[in-house]
Amino acid sequence: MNGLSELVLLDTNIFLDLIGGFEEKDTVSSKKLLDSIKAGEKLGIVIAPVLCELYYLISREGDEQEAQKFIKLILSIPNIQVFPIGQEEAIRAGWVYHKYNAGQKHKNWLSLVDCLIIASCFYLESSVVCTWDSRFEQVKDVSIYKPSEIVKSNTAP
Amino acid sequence: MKPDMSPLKGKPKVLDLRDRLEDRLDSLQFFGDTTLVKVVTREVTIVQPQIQTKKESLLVSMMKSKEFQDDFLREIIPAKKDPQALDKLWGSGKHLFKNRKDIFEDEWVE
Repeated sequence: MNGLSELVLLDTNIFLDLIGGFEEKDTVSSKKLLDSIKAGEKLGIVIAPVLCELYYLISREGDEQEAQKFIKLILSIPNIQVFPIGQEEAIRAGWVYHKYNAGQKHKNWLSLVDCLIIASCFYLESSVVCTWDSRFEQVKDVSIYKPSEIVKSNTAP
Repeated sequence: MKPDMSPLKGKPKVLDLRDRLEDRLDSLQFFGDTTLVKVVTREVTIVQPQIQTKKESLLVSMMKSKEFQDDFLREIIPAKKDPQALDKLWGSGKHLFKNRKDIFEDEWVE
């Protein structure tokens, strides 16, 4: 990841990793990445539908009060910005969905939110996608990184 | 004729729109510590991240401020940033996921 990639589009699982404290999943990398965003080294972008995913997933596992508390805290992290989805991103996401899911087994499908994240990356200069989801590895149109890869590149001599 | 949906050849042209937007400030929102600019007009859509001037520039959004007219959302969307938020979040939801080792698997999120 080069120094120009200063916008990081964050997938839902980065935040689930953070609040779940999944140490076996290298949670420290998610925390370090968000630390660098908090410090202003990068700008963290959350597309609006990720908030939808976070709300229903957390409320399903816990309750609505917890979902609201966690979302409020996530939005409170300095240098985290919500990116609204417009017609360009929505149409491009449909294009991504068709390109990568047609003819694939369902287990390899990108979700609509995944496709919206990828589509948003098309329109944000110097942006990359950050996710733990291995299904993104098939995507060649934008740059995809795991948190550990971004953190490692930041600390490399 | 089918529309061209091939991958974009290049990124959208970046322009500094702040001056041009000054006469439309009543329809914009400004937030102090961010820089992402997204402007959608009938003619052009421009996304302008300006990391290099982050501390001095502003977020301009054409979204209406409906979230601040909604009591439910007013409780969730923070009015300002909290430097302690990240530390408050880290590991604080372990109880939610302790029996969900499949958190990163497809079925969990779908």
